[in-house]
Amino acid sequence: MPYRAEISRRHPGYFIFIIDRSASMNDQHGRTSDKSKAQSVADAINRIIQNIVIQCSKNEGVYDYFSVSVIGYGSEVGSAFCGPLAGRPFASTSELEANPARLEKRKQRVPDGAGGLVELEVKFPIWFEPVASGSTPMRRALGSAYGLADAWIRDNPDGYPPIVMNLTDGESSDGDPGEAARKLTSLKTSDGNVLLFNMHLSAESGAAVLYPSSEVVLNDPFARQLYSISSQLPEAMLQQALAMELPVRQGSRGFVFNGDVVSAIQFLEIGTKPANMALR
Amino acid sequence: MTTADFVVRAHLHSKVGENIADCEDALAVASQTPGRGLRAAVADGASSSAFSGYWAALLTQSFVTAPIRSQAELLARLPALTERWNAHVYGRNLPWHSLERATRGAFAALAGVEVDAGSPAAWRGLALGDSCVVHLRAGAVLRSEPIAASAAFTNDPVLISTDAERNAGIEAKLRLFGGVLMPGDTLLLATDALAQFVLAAAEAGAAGIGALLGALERGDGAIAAGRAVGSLRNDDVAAIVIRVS
Repeated sequence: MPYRAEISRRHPGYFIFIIDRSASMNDQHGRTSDKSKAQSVADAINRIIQNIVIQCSKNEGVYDYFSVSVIGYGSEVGSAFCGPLAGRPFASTSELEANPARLEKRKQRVPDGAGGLVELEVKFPIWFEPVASGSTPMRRALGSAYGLADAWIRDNPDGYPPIVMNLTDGESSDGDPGEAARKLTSLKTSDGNVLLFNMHLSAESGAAVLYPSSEVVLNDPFARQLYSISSQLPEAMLQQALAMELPVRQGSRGFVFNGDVVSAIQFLEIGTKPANMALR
Repeated sequence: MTTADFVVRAHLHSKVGENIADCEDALAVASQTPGRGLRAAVADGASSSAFSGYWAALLTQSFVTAPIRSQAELLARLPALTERWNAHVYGRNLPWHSLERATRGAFAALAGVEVDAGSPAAWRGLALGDSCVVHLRAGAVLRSEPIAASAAFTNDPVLISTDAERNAGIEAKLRLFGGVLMPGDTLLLATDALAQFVLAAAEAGAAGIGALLGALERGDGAIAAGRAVGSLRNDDVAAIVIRVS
């Protein structure tokens, strides 16, 4: 059965994030938001990377269950890591943990075991700062992802297929991204084809759309284009998403419109997920 | 009164490629003098939770120290254990990811038995989650709790948490059971991967399960062999084989 390969330190998985850093990302994200789309993307990618590292956290260390690449596309296309990892094509989860650009301090309330809560100071790592300049060369960015995925698959022919996640406001400036997306998702390991998920941030307000199975629910033409190049959720991911009570169904695609994509990285099975361990 | 003698063999294995220190399964056997009964427990710390190996160890040690015989006893036992887990985890300077993960709590499955000394020996068991107690006689499974078939294992069982809020309603999932052990009978306590493997072997026929139990009683060859052919998932394993001699 595809998309069942073990993800472990011996057989790590691979995330490739491609993030839109074009000038249009300076626009407001939704009519009621005070954030720019660039800020929303930076927040999302920091939370995603944070959650990937937390998934790999074992007692006081971090296991290298994943490699991660982040490609920015705007005035230039290339590695978007900030801080000590700047310029690196990819990093392991332990390298990410050890090398955030900075740590913010935040307060969090946690259970005390007796039904009460205590307040703890937690550190929130920041790897990416908002950037917005230049055009939106999405095809080139997908081409870069192809190069990275192709090289990784040569080294890991039986691994869990790379997952590419594109965060954008959807307006490609270098032509239809469809062909580049099809080429990217034609790459495969023995466990399945490369998966391409898209998160579309729009200046339009309205309800978030999560993992639709039809483009009919999408009014925005760029959203429909991104939906068309998004991979269908494999059965194993679909079951995980259902267990997380997300609104998925047979045929759901890895596409989110103005919604939260952090949940998507939890679709991967790395050991047991207790049924009574709801996400917070 | 005639007393039963037991042959007990315990197995604890980390996943292939990881160190035993990374193993999140735990086991405990109460040391009893010859001719007395025994207590044993295995627990499986969920890999998606924090410091779950320590939580699993606390649960097994607690069970063999004082068995849990009711839903109320389980719920009454947990606050003190959570306090010990909190002291262990928060009493150190954790990196940000460990602290963040710890705030989500630890989770573990638990299976335990207490076996009386008489012959035939009465036994009582408890299980919550996907760690199992399997009672075998002459190559056949008489009873397997809380999961009875190899196809019934899932990746999202309800487990015992350090977080009281996450334990709401778990008592309804607690299985309490028991029986009588005759000479030659085996009780196998096993975390999910091995329990599934053993049930599959039993479903395939008596010859396979007999050889498997023999191997488990002699040593760890069965674990390595099962993993080598891929029929035993690459997961941590805690198992205790108790045979009435």
